[in-house]
Amino acid sequence: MFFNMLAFELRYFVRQPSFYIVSLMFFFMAFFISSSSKFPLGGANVHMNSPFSIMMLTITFCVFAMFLVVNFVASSAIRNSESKMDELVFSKPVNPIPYQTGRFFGAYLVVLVVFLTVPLGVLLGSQFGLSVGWLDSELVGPNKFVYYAAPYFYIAVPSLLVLSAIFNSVAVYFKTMMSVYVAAVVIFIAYQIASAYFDDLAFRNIVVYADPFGLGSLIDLTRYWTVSDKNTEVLTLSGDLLVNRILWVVLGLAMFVSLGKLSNRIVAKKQKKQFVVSTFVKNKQAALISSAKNYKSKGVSTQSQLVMRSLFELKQVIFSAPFMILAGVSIVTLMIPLFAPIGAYGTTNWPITANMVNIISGISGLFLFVIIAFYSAELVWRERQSGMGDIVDSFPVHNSVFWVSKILALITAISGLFIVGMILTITVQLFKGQFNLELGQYLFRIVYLSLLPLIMLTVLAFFLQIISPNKYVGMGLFILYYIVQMVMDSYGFEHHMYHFSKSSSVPYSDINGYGHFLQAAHWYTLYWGALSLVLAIVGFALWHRGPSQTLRTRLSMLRYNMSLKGQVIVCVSALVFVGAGYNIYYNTRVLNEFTTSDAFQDKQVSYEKQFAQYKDLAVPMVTDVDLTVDIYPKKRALSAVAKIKFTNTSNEPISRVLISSPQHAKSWDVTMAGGKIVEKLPALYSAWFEFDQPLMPNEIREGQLSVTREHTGFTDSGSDTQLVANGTFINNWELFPNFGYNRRLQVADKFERRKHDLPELERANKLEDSQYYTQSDFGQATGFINFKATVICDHAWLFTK
Amino acid sequence: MLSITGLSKTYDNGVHALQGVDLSIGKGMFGLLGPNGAGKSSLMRTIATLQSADAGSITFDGIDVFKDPQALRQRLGYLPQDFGVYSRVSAYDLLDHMAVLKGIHNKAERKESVEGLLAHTNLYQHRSKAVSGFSGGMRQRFGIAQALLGDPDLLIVDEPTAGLDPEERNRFHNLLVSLGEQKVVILSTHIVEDVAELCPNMAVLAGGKILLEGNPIALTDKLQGQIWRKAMSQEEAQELEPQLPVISKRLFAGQTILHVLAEQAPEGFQPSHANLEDVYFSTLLNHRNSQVA
Repeated sequence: MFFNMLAFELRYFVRQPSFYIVSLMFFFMAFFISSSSKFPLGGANVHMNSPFSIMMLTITFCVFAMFLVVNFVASSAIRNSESKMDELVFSKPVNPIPYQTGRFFGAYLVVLVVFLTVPLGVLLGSQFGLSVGWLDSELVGPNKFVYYAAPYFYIAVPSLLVLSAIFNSVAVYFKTMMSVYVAAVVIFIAYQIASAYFDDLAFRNIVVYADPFGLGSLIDLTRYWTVSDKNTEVLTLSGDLLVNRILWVVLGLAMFVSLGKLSNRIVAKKQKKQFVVSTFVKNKQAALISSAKNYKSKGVSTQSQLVMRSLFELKQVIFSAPFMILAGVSIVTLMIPLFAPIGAYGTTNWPITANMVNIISGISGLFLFVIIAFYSAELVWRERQSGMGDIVDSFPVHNSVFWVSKILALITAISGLFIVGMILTITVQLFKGQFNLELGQYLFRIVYLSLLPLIMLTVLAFFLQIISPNKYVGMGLFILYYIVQMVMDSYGFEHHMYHFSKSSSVPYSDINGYGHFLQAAHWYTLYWGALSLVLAIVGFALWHRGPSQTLRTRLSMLRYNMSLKGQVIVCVSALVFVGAGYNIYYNTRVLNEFTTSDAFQDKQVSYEKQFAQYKDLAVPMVTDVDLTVDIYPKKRALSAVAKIKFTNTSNEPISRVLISSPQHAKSWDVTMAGGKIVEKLPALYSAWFEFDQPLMPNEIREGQLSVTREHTGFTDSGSDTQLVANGTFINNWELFPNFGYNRRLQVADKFERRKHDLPELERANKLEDSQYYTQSDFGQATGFINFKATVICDHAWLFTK
Repeated sequence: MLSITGLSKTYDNGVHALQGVDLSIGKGMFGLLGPNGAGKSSLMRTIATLQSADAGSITFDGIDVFKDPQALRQRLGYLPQDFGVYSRVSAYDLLDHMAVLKGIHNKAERKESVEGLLAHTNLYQHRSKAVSGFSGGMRQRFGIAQALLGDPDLLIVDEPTAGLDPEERNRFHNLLVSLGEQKVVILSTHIVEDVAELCPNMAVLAGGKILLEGNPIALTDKLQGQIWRKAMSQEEAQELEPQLPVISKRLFAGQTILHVLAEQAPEGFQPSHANLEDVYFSTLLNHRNSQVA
């Protein structure tokens, strides 16, 4: 019996598409993590296929495998009761214990088979990375079977058994997949929070045993391993790790035996109480039959239908277990930074609203994405799922009523999370004596900057659900969108015009407020808002009406369902989208320069390749500065002129000076007696200055540095934060052109350097190298100077601020 | 009132659900008979604006159903063959909810309509219980109640009496007949008795085609004198079956009774009074034979 059932489960899952989908997912995740050095799980410089890396990857994947276990073990545990097979099965002479045990271990075995794709992914991924050049040859070591086998058998096999036992019990107890998924989310988060909280010396001895994945023991075991250890040492099952593994396997099996309800055949449903109808009710019914009039339909009334539907849908969302649990968890995650507020350098931040809003916005990450992904599927498909679809779809209700009420419900629920967060932070503020609540800031930053993009994201999620033939495809598309927009940066699509609902960032500070950053944000909001409106109207016009209407059929009714008003709005919105898009393009790419991080790195590389040879070339040293700066804060502009005296502190005459240009400068110039700029290289942020008569050692000459800095339009990223309307804080090397090779422009990452054939960076100059003996930490040719500065500025600004 | 012309539908999986269906249905009860998989539900769903057709058209009282589904929805009542309900919502609340969707906006009118329909379907005493917890028959009655919301001019009921006990079935039939005079009621079923009891007009649908259309009495009369029956043992029936044009084979008191369609009585057979079931089965038999040939 046991083996029959085991084999049955194996056969069953091998025929399910989910088996292949999940296997491919795990394989590709492991493959991509191992094929580049972007996620060095074992640590920098450790082989991607070293025993240590494989081990860390295995543990990380074990945590994610929670969802794998839910998919196989839990679904196997409740499949009979869900598909109503249990009455059929248990009316046969079966012994439930070997039957259930066989199915459990069959499903567990499937999980183990799927998990084999992880070591396979590492093996193929690292070799692939090596062959296509994503991985440096220094990051791939020899492959040995035991490197892969040890983590699989010591870590994955026991951990997955524990997880299987846990989720089997949850499934048997609650009998719905939903509850098991919720349990998985809760355990997942609890594990993350616990591992953050217990990551402290005081708990080390407990964590070694208490970590169900064995990560605590492993960290303890390998704490002092060198890179070479990590590359060669194979994990052995001994000491604390052995105790941990035995402990958890025993615990898991005990849980399976005690909570798995193995001997249960079937759970009898509660018998309903007999119900006696009172004569009053009978009379009333008789009266109603003869008197009650059945009124005619008055046709569509969108407004009253909308109000009723929205309240109904909202109730359905809020009073569903997953929402309550996700809401609870997100509030808990919010409370951690509130009650243990750690700011810069371990000091406590004041509970000012600016900080509080940052904390609340912090919850808007993956959590809200999960809520949107899950509930957009639930909501869009609720009628189909509940079986009401055929009835409700034949009612005289406009598509927009369904669409609007559902999206309103979800948006209200999400807003509710923010409101609860706000109430929490305000309570904390009041308790701590912070009475300046700045509710306006709460409202604007949360609603406009956090909530509005989420609303647009919800519109997109709805749209994807609507164009999909079922909710799984819809959810898949939405997740695909999420992944694509995460990875597209590295393919050069960094501009926010490619990132749906995203704006350029709006840093808030109590000194500067929103500053000039809001202007760009408004344009992006208009741009994405217009597109969202198009998606919204096209979305409800394509709403699923009827059980199996293909997208093509629904498209043929697009204009009918949109009505003339909808068509006008779609056209206007599309125009606004294009117009705002053009304006953003013009501002960020025509008026201002936009460089992707890859392109910028290429510039850094060419800069270094071209100019590194001049890094020791003597440069003039400035000795006297007479600086005049005119600041126009409202225009965010300044012009600065520095009259300088300079000399040559080296032993050789100086005939050429490499100059690096200042950032954000509209124009700049360097004049020095006896020479001129001969070549400007704006692409490399530099220029060459040549003296007709070389500057002799100790010779003193005069010159002038001048810069005008002003801003037109707005940028997509890297907006000037030094020169803002409400204050200017600027360093000399940020303001003016600099002399000499600019080390700040060098690529710092070791592997990026190697990829571009750059030599390794020297960490420090050689002790024996006497030419640096007279150089200070600030670099070449720096010393004490005579300094005089005149700052000229808007009168009102200078004295009121 | 309702006219269907040249309606065809082929599903993506290649099933020809409807093949050139033409029907013209006036006020009163219309019975649509057909075996499982005949295309009844496809036809019902198509009339109920839930499904498009590849070809053909449907008009109801001047409304082109494919061009302006919303206009039909206002005058339509539809009970699908199979439906579910939102969980944890009471019968009254759910029917009230649906009444708003149906377009009964006045609160007092809505209350009267909802209570009246609950009473008519004998659910008034269960009005505060969740519909999701109803038994099959009660749920079916709820389905009937919602179909009657808004006093529709076109009522489509797909297998309405499935799961009803005989008493409730009679109650529902009476309700239908009392409504039937002023509206178009399409009753789709595979139970011949229902059609025989209720419908002055009927059609038989099989393989996506209308095989027969007319008044049940007239149709039955046509067969009079051609139906023969004989009671026998099961073995005997098995022997005889391939040799005769058997239209039905049923059991009565443990004996097999064969009905045969023929001009002359086969040996040992007695004349039998033709009924609608004989009409139905002989139609299906002809259809099957024509397909084989």
